[in-house]
Amino acid sequence: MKPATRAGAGAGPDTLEAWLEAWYAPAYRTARLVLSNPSEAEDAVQDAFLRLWRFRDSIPEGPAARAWLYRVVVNSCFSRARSERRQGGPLGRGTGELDLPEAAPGPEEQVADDALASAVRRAVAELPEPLRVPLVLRYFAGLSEREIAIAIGRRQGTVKSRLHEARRRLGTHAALAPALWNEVAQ
Amino acid sequence: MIEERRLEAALRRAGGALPLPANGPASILRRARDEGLAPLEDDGVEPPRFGHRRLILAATAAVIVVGLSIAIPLATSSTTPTATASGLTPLPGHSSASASAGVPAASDAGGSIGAEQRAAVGGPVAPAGSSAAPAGPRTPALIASSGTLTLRVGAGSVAQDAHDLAVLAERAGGYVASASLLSAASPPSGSVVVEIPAKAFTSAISAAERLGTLRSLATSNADETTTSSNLVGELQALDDVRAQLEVLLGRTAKVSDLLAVENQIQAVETQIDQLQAAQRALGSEITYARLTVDLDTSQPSRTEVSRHGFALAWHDATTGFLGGVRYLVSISGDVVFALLLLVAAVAILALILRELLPRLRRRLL
Repeated sequence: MKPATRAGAGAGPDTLEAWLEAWYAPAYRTARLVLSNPSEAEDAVQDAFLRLWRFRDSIPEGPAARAWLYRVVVNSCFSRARSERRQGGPLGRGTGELDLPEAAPGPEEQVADDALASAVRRAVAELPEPLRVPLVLRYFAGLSEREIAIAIGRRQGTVKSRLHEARRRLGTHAALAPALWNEVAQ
Repeated sequence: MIEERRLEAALRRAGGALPLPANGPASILRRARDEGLAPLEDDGVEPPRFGHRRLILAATAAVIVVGLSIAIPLATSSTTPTATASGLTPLPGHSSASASAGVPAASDAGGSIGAEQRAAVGGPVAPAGSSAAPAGPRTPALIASSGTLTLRVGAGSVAQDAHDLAVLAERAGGYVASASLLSAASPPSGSVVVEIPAKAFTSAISAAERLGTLRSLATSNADETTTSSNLVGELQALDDVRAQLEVLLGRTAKVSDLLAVENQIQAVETQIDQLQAAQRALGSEITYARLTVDLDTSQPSRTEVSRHGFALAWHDATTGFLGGVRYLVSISGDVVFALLLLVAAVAILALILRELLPRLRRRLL
């Protein structure tokens, strides 16, 4: 994750720019799939990158950096959700989950969207947070089960069972399953 | 169940179709500049944050447990008489008059013997199963034990039983101090005095009981700790006196003074010899317990119960079983306390690890 030339203390924004260029898109989309709300996802990713920049000296080299990134992003999403719950905002329904409403798609989304993508996002958003987060990290961000376990602070066995349950629920989702079958037929 | 490949493809497509905020990266850069973000002065690794309250609770519990585990044994050791075996302490330069002295068991051998009652006789009697109070805080108790056992045996077996007692004593590491057999008398009788190592005294009594029908048993335990300590003290004092006299001897100039000092030294040495002899005798009494076995061939009383064969075996079995139960009950308190401490320590350790391990795992990223 780190640039080839590691920046020391007081480095300029160029290094942060390189990070953003490489990781902003996947981080934002992950947060968006977890939180569903675009503005909340944007704020969560912003917090995550600022935090990463602050602690950049402690970011490990190599493949572990990716898991570190997503860990910070996921924690940032949780923090925003908790903060909203405490303030009684639209997220603060007291359910203990990231029960976020799907924002109405803007014009650009309507152009880029299609039925399957919409169905997938809706189905994922309906999953409870303990199942949604591992699912997104595994099948969108591409993390391994071990990396997911470290990212969310759970055991690998727990991650495996949650992924299994998430897939099972998606498989019986009324809207998703037909959309997937139609996709296959096409 | 959705196939993983299909789900992955669908999710990537769904996520990839999401548009990015127009000014997302720019806003981050702007905020970084505005806040003047710089790395922390330390290595940038965020220290793990514990649940402070849980940590304080766990630390307090650990301190209490450790404190109790240290304090209670100290408190009980100062009030509980020790029962460690120890010989008499010889003076430097004097021959040793001691051997290890065991602490014999209590006076009562347990069980019913019919009409006759067991009685404790003799001098100062120590509590059953424990040693007498030590003379000082660190002085182990020195107990001199003795016993008198009366057995009913067959009229023609007095000599054989006396022989068996001798064999029993030798096997226990002891010896026959004296034996008196009146085989020609009517009725025949005998008396055997054996010296048994103190630690084998109880088992020797049990073995001797099997030679006949038990009529009576009396044991006594005398605490000789103070006597022993006094002997040691007196010997030390006399040794000091002798040393001073020897120094004085070297300074005498006149023959008359020389003779006077020599007489004094001789008197002191005589006293030392006497005390050493007493010390050896006391050591022998503590090392060996004296058991006097009287062999009686008179007819049993109607109320007396005769035990042989299975009845005797049953008696021994129940006695042994009850003895074992008594022992288990006596140590149960210590065992339960140790188990409680262990459970508390394990619970505290598990609580601390439950807080630490997840955070350590994250830090290992």
